[in-house]
Amino acid sequence: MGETTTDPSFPTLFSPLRIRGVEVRNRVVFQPHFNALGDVHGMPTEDLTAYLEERAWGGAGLIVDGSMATMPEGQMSRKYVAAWDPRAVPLNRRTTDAVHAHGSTIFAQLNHGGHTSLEHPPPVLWAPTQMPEPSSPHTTRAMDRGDMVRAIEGFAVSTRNLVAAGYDGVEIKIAHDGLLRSFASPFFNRRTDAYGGSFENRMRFPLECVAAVRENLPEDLPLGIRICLHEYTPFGYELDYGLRMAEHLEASGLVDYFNCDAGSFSSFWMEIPPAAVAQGYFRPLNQALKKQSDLPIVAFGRIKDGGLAEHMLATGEADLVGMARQLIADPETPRKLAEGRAVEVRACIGCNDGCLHAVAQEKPIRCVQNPAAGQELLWSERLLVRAAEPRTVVVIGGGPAGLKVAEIAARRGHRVTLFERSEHLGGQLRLAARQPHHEEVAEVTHYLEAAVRRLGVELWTGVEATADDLLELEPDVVVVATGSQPNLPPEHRQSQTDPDAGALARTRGLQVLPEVPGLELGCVYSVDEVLGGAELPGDRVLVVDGQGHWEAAGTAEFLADAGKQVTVISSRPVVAGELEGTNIAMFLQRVAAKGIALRPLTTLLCIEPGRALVVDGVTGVEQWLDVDVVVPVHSRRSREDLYHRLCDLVAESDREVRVERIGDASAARLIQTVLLEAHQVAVTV
Amino acid sequence: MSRRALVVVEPRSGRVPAGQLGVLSAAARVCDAVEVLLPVADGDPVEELAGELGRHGAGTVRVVTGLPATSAPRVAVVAALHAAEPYDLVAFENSSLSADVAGALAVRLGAGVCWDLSGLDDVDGELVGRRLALADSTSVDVGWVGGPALAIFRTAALDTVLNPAGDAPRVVPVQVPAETGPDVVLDETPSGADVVRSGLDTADIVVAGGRGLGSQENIALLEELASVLGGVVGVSMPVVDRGWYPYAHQVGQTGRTVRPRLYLACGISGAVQHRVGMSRSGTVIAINTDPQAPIFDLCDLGVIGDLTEVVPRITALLRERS
Amino acid sequence: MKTVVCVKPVPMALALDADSGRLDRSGGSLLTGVDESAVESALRVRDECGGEVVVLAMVPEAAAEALRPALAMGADRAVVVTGAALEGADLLVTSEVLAAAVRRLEADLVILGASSGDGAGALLWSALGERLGLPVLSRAVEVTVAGGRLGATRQTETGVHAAETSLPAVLALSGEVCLPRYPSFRDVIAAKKKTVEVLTPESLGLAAADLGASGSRTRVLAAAPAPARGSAELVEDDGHAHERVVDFLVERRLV
Repeated sequence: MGETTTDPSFPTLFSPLRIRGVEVRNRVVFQPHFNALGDVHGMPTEDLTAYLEERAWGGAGLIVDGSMATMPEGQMSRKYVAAWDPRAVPLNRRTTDAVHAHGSTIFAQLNHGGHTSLEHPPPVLWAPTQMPEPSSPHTTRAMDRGDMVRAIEGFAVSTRNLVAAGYDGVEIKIAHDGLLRSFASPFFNRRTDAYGGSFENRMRFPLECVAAVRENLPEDLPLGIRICLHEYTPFGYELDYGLRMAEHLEASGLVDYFNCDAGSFSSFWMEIPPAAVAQGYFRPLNQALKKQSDLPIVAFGRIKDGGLAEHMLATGEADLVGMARQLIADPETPRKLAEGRAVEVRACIGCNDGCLHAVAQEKPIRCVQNPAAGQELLWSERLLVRAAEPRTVVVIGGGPAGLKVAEIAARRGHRVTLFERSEHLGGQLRLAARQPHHEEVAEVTHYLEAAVRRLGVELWTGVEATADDLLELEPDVVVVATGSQPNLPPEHRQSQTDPDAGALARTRGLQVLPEVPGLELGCVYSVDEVLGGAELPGDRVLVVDGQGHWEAAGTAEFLADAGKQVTVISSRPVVAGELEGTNIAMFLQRVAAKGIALRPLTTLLCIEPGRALVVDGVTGVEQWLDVDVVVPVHSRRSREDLYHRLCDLVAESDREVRVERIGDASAARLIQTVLLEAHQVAVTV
Repeated sequence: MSRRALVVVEPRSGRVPAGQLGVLSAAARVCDAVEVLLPVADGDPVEELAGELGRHGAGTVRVVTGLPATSAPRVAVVAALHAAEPYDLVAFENSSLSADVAGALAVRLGAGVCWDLSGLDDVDGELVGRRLALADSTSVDVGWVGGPALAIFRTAALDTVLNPAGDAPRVVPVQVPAETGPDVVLDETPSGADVVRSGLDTADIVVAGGRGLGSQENIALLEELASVLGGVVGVSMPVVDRGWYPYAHQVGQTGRTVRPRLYLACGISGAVQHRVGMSRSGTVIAINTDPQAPIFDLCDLGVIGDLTEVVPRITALLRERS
Repeated sequence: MKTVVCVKPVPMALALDADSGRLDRSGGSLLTGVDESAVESALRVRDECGGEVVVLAMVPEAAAEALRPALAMGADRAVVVTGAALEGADLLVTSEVLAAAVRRLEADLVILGASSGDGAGALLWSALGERLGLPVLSRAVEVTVAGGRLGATRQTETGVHAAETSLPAVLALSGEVCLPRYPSFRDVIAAKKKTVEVLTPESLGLAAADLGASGSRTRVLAAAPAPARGSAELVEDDGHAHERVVDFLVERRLV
């Protein structure tokens, strides 16, 4: 970024900072997180190098690579990079070289997994005292002195390997998972020897590990601690204790900076908070530590706005600002802010669907907003090349799929025209954003709409394209991204406002209607109608969750917030069972507060005015429920007739036109796969 | 040097509005001979009006009677006076009528016109107009090439300077030229129709609401305040997304970019997508319950409070004072 | 009945160059809401009286595409006057060029949208009327054309009044007075096939020497950023914050 101008709006954010003997070029920190980009032997893959390099290229000041495991017994997943293993050194060197080439600083984070693991079943779990982490059924082995010596040696060996691999510093995790916090914790550590009982004794083992790292670090390289300041559990410690831990660590003189953190496996929704946790929620934690400490403080907690970051730094809340998910969603965030392009930043939507959901299953990290995340070698925007021959690309539909294909095609230099039949761009996302706690999903549209306007895509809103006339535009490529519609019978009221766009497909046996009697009735409302603000005839609403994601769950909340009496049924063992863990945990908390009734393992059989027949999936017992409104959420049907007509016309004509269908028009799905698909199609145009 | 000015005024209800007297005062400060063109209707207190104009610097008051409220006859009168004895400055307070007059005069006299001025000075013998441009973000000094200098001043931008001992001005009747060119016929009776607000793009005052409105009903509070201020309602994206207000009123990255002189942000947190649509506004007043809202970083006056309480009280107080 | 609508496309947001990743300021322009409203008004006149609608703009050639949505809405022709000599044109030059184009197009009615209070737009229609020797009906919110007369409801500081004049005439609208229509897909296709006609000052018989900044009768002597927005005055609402707001508006001469 050396040659770029620095936006005067961010004077602090883009000022350098010295930590011990290392100067960091700006205050943006790519926070350490498990990305599952190690291979099954704990070796960093080329994907991992590319993943971190992308963030360095994007302008981050400091990248913290991690977590890495210190020994086999503390490796939370086989894909955690094995810092103890000398075979990882040259591979890590590849990463540090790549990051340094872009001017960023890179530290590595070390963690012993202790009582926590992502493996199923987990290997033996080490802990100060034998007991399962309360969220897990798996108990632990209480460590003896020999285990401790080995664990300390693991930190020492790993540190030497990291130094050899070219890292600029080491961060030790005493944070939301792992062994060291469990030693510090009065709940998990019940020992009566020199390593438990008193506060000083509980801190003894973590400090021995810290000392081992310090002894193996060259004099000028900094050592930091990622510290959990508040466990957010009924049984765990709170901020006052977290601050005391930090004070004790700082007094040792071994620590050069703190990186703030909160939560635990038993409160994992506070580790990596989804959108339902307000941005800036954790600022008081950062502020409290900053107030008591003389060391540089890295702030954490769903920070994604450059203005907020600058404000936090300028007002002395922190010295650096940590961003993990924001830089996953847009690696170029720091560069864009620095160049005065803040409006081009693609914001994280806090969904956790791509990042946390994947890595919690030990699958490589992904991102809804950024199709390239974790697969930079394939899809990085840096790989986009200008098309040798600009093509005329016509995109039908201005939802996320259509907008994404338009964005990428336009960036490659094609002439892109986009038609959207409604007044607004954004498609179903406009409705999704109306669900409680889902406002941020609109950032997907925000980014794409601004991008296509900036790129000069010719946009026609309020214009419904028809297959018959389309070829007159003489397109080289037509991308049909017409979306989907609720799969209700054509007799249903919906057809008045949202004409059936699957009739042709059904005559060809490509679509079927659902077979629940009564779906055509006036008491049946689609999610589109409900979120569109339809006036409902009565207060008792049955939501049928045939899909498992937010479409049903968020609509149920929307209805409950509007004062409706809501019951949600699902044929599956869990209502909203497709949701990512932090999201479902917080959803279930709100369900209780909002008085929503959940009935899993229950299937809808038929609907009559004023009632619905359901069957219990375990007992087979049928029951009539008295309800005024039924909101069925099952698979949507593609609006695909336009695509088929167009293909027929192209086949009949002698024109060479490539016709593609993407997004829900090909199959109704979550946006993550839709945006990746759109990107992939656009790079082949 | 001797410099002659003509100030065109339009009395309302038998009085010359203070803003127009301010223009006269400004002209008198930089000109030696100041004349006023005073259109009057039958029954207007001409003596009294002329006296008031004299106390604000007019040496000569040219009275024209029975002029319709249209531009063509004014253009003809001013052009004829200028032809008889040229003016160095012809000045107006901004209004629909004075803009129409000045635009035509510029062409007829081949003269330069500077508009939206908030000051006028003599710099080394040259007239220099002061203007705040681009929603008051830029201060511009403007000059004229040749004469007369046509100057339109921002409404109520200038203070009046009263000289109680000023000589009574010479009062001279003016004849309207027989042929004043094509003109429009005005029905002077107000139609009583509802006022149509101008679009967001061109509004001088925008009263904007965001998520903090809480419900669609509360948009009425903004509409009332906008009506009292003569402004237009704008909204942030979440309001449009919820279907509370039409897209045409959306301010921000995916809506309109506005640069009014006054932007009142009610219940808008100030996310970057919104800021890009309004950050170049002149004066920004923000009302928000959250003291941490980023909008407070780019406003001139911030009220930490509930818009549903504060806005109606502002509306009521403005009504009371007007 | 031939109506010419004078529009002024505004530059779109800045664009990114795909190769360099740098800002590209050569991006396109867009019609504003007031201009779309002016086109709609002209189309309504045509719906009522028949005839032709021509959209006219004085813009750099790159901005000509901005007129295409007007063609899709139903305008019969789009014409731009363009030329290097027009850079920096002031009121006198702009009105002269537009008047020459309007004469060439033989308009019965010229419609302009309202423009920003920042610009000279509020002066343009009367300057244009003067150049053409036509009556000017400004600040219109409703328009009727019948029997060779132009009628309008005008909205000014003194209220809402009816007014009328003879045709040909110049009509200026007060803001977004009507909702622009959405084109059909067929209309869009037809519009994309039309050409935007390009005129130059020379083709209109105007001497380049008199045009542009060289012919300007006003000049900018100095421009400086106005005093930056200071740090905000913050008040907590204790039931009296509205008084501070109103006082503040008075201090800043905003009411």
